[in-house]
Amino acid sequence: MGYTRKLAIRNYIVEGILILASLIVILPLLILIFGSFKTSAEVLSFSLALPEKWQFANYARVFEEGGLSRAFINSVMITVISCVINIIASSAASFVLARRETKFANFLYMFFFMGLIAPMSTITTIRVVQWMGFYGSISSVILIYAALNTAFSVFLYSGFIKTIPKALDEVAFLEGASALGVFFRIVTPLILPVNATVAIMVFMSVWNDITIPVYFLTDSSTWTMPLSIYNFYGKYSRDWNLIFANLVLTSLPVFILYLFGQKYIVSGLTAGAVKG
Amino acid sequence: MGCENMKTMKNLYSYYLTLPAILIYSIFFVVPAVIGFYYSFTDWRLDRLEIHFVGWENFTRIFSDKTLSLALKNTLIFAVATVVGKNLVGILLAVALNMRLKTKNLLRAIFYSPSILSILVISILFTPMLRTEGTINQMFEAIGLHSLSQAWLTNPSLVIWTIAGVSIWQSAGFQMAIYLAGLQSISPEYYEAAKIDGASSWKSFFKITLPLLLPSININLMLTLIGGLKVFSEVYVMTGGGPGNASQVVGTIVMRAFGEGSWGLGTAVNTLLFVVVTIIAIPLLIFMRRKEVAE
Amino acid sequence: MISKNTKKISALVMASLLSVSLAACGSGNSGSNKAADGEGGGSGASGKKVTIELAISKSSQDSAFIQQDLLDEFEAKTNIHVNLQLIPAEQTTTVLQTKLAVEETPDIIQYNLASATTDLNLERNFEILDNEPWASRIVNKDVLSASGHIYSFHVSQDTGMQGVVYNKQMFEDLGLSIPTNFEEFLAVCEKIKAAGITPVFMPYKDNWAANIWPAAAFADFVAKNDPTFFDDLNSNKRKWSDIPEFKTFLEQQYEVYKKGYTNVDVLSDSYDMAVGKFLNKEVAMMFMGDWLIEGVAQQDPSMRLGVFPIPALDNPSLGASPLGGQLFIPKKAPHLAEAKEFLNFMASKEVAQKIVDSKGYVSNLSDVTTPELPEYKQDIVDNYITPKKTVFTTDAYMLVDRTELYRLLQDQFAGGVTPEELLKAWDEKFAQLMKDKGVEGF
Repeated sequence: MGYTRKLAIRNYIVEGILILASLIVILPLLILIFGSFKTSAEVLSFSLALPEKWQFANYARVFEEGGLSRAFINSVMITVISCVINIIASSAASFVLARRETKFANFLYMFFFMGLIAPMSTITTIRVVQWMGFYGSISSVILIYAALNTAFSVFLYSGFIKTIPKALDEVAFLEGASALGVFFRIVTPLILPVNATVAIMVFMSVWNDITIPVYFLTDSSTWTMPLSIYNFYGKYSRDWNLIFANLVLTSLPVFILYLFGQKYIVSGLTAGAVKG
Repeated sequence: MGCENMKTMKNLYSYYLTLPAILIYSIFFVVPAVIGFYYSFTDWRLDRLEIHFVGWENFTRIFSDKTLSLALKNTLIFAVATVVGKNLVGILLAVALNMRLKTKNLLRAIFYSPSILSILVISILFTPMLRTEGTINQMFEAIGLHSLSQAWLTNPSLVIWTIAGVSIWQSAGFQMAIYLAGLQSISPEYYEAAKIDGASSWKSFFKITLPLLLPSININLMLTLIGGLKVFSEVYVMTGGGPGNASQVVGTIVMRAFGEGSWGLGTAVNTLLFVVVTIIAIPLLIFMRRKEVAE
Repeated sequence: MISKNTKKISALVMASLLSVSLAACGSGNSGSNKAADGEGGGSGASGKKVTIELAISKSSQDSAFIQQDLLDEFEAKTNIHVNLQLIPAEQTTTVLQTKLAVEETPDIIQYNLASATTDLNLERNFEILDNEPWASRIVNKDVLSASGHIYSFHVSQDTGMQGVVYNKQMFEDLGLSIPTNFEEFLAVCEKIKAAGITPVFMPYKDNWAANIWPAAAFADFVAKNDPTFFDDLNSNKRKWSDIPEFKTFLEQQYEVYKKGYTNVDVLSDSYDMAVGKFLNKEVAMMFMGDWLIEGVAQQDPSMRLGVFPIPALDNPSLGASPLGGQLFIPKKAPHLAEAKEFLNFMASKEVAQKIVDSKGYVSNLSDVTTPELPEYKQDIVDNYITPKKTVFTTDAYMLVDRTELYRLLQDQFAGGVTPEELLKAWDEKFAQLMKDKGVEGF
């Protein structure tokens, strides 16, 4: 009895500390959110004060002037497809690399890992895409994103797949399943939480990127959402309220995805990995 | 199961599953990057028609550049500060938020949220707040801590630390998420066993949690270390390397060389950075992987 | 139970994998088809709609040449569609450099003439426009030319003036007159400060803004006392640190700050705050180009601002910026003929007149008349341009990237370098950059 109570008190203390600490995160974000509802003069104080009058019109203006509906569709298309390609390719590769402990598998792992360190070379990448004949197309951007995040995904997957016991795949193999079959039927469901984790992280990095489209998409109407911010960087001045509203709108989809995926990340891994 | 059997079992994990990843990754990343390295040995310039092979010339020039030694120092400060900060905060948050707290889901979302923002958002948000009469100093003044009020981004000896702090603010939640995933995979049975043995919370943290968390620690250390050494965006968008050259890091030096039209030189700095990060990260990676297997 | 679910999920994943790879192939093909179509149109096939690409920094979206009604008129007349590539301001230079390097050039680029020389390798990458039909009607060829050839197009001959932008109303209210030397300037600052207004706004977080004062002062001094200096400089016969007055000019700018005549946090404040500071009447002056006046007027037409020369020397001349925002045609433009047609259209009497009227430009075409100018512009024309009291700033003579100079200027305000060290460091960097560029004598 005493132990449980002690535990409860400890939890309350921890919770209190955490709620206080969360202010460090919340307050700057509140400045951003409140600012997005202020007038362009009011926002300049960058303070925590509530807007005198909530300017909901800021959002309508940002949405229209920034061409956000189009940019949103571009972003979703580019991000989702590159994410799916990346996740399937990387998890399949990591599965094999984590299960085989040969020298060659190790070499391949290192080969992928170096991608975390090596810098991207823009001009030569353009050359390669030109040579393949699809420079300027959305599909080139999708594949580049998938490639750029491969190192990161393989690295994450390899770490996690190792913690999943082999017992299940061994049974399946004995029943005559192929590697592909084992991967999709046994491993994929087990690493669903890892998939959710990797998906969110890759999604984030692609969604937030502001350089690749500028170099690889010639038609600015195919640009992505984060780039719409530049519509509000005036030549002479900056309307911070509109910039803030734009930032809120651009960040919202990733945030929603996180809330949605959090459930999988948290609950799934225990059930799948350990008890399985 | 015999040794023979194990071997055939291994071969069942067919390499063709790795092909899609290898292809995409090689064509769109590795090949361009490797060709890119070649340019670091050339006099490639914006205003030259032909490109000549110049051997190590670019590298000797890099080492005679005074700004580079400052940039190297700043890069190391940033890397060490962020590796320590992000992992310490991340692991504390993860352990705390793995307890049975009423608001844990909400708190997880809050702490994670900065890491979904792009660096552009972060810098736009923090640059005005870090001004001398900005929100942060105003807060310190309001609670009477005048001495903490600083010229965060304009004091040459402070600026790199400030940027590291902002980076920790942004990314600790990301590290937390990876640690959380790792914690979730630790079976509660271990703790129950420890409890029966009468182990204290601290003891079970060091004896059970930390060792079993090793894969997550490995991942996080690598990501923060490599990210810290390759730092570019944070500095570029918050200070552009300034005031003067006070917050230049290796990543922004690359940009500076490109901006001056010296593309060969810029690629050479990039190559150098690659080699340095490799020398630091690979032995660490091998060491950690060995430990992981041993556990 | 588990295996049933598993099956379902894996089937789903498989299906999505397939559909994705198909979709990727599909869009890939359509992308390359589009590119091929574009190239086909380049030969100027009659009757077929051609699309040309015009690249411009997003911060220049209010450029006269990309007003939608003009683009529509052009399209109706020629069946050429203009597609705008708006590039984020901070990335404009690197994106354009990259596109030129990989020969994916737009057909037309809007850029600054002086920066095009240093950033984009003007002579190698761009068409000489000497023989275009409009070239003979250009009044002032210098503002469009580099090394003796016309490389760019604009309907205005005024590329912007740089000096001290000031609030006329405030000067009148306080009974101040325009200072003509540094002592008078300090006296003016003192009076403004006494009236509770910040005399000078220095937004030196944007390091280039710290260059306005020296760029005009150096050039003014050289033009009056040492006309061969820039030639000597560019052939490595002399150095920046050889002229002791340069040090004085740098000290002057710093003195304005040190004496408390500026905003407190010069290294945190950025250029985009300037318009607001003038609108709120928080500041009286700023070392800047007259384009700032236009920016303030857009927000509040009742604000009366003007510009006077940087008072570093006695009786100074007004700095003329060699910048501008001209149109260039890359040599490798896929639609060269159509791009030139676009310039012809902009140069035609009616269109050019329309632009000049709406923007209040000083016309650069002999048959296009200059409209009634805004007050500040007319003042500049009467007081400086007509009596020939202007001087091109140092930017006009620079062959290499100036960013390191800007950083050094910023560093002076951070307490990192003295003016003497600044000039010495810039000498070293300058020599290195000139050597890399392959300029003779370095």
